[in-house]
Amino acid sequence: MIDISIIFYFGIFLAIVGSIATAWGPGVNDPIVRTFNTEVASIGVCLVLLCYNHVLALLTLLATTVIITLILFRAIIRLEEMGADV
Amino acid sequence: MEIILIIAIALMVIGAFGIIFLKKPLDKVIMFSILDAGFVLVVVAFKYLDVAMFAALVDPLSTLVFILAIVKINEIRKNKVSGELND
Amino acid sequence: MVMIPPYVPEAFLTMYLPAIYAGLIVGFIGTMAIAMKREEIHILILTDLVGLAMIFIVSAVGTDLAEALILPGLVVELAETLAISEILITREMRKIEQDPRRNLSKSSSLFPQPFSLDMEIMTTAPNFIALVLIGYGIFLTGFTGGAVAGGGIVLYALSKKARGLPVLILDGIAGVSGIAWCLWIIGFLLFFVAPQYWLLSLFLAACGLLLKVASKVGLIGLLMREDIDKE
Repeated sequence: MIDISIIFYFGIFLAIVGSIATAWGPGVNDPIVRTFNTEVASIGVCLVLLCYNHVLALLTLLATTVIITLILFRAIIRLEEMGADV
Repeated sequence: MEIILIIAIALMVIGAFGIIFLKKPLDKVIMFSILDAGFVLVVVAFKYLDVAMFAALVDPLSTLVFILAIVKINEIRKNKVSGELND
Repeated sequence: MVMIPPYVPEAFLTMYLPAIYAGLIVGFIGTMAIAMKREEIHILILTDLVGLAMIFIVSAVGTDLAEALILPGLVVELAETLAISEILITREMRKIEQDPRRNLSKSSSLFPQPFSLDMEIMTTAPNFIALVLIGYGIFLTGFTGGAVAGGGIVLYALSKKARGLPVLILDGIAGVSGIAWCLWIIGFLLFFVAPQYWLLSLFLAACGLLLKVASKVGLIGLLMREDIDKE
């Protein structure tokens, strides 16, 4: 039997590190880099949900993360194409 | 059993700090793959094999989206710089 | 004193306070960063962080109620991101249309620029991966299955090169979505009118939601292909 508290605290650590990196990390004035750093926090939340055995929520979070990334990248690319000051 | 967790946590630490501190976006894509590999290992250690299958299948999808977006935005920025030079 | 429901497992009681504090810290970081930024697209990305903090706090409950409450939160987050990104793009288009001479420089364009990327994964992999994802999504049903199957449809639509979808097919997809919505309403009503048919109404609601979410997410994939991967 594995000890879930290690994974739980590691998930919290990953979520906090990822959110700090998203907010004030290196090179986040580029929107692409900021979207990448959101991914780290998302994996941390996935680990916490895994410790609570919320399997359906975990599956939905994994699927919606991809779709939200798709939508964000589309918005960034269209705005950059039209020459907006992002 | 412990060794799997140690390997998974090591993979995830390397992936997370690689995503945050590397400069080029394509390096970040590779580091995201490493992070996802560690996550799949943790899911397997918790014995949710169907979730592990889904996480392993979603990984190429998000990599594809990342690579498309990065290559396209590089193209746009290159066009913008050369267009301003030609003016 | 804290009231604890009797069905919460023993092991989750010690995990309650750290999860709540972590959620509060993540939410605080997200809202502080939103307050400090000016550009709208950065604010849209940072809204994701606040959604993650919401998931933290709800999941700290630790029972089935948490699992049932996370799903609507994710639905709302997805819809909100889609709507605000559309608003940002449309506002920029209106700004260009009002004064095309000044706002549209030589290197930027109102329409998507042609672009093609020849990757090997886009010709060989999508058939198998999309098949497995759609099959697993149908097995799951509900919003989860819809999102999973939609991911498969997105991968398939993103990598296939057939251009110019006819209007009839788009209308057909919209019609499927409407019928699925009717199925959901009928199932929900049947729960209260005839409770002895609970299994039938459960499957009506679940399959209706599956069809609706999968078709809508597939449409997002088609939109993405028209915008990014245009030849």
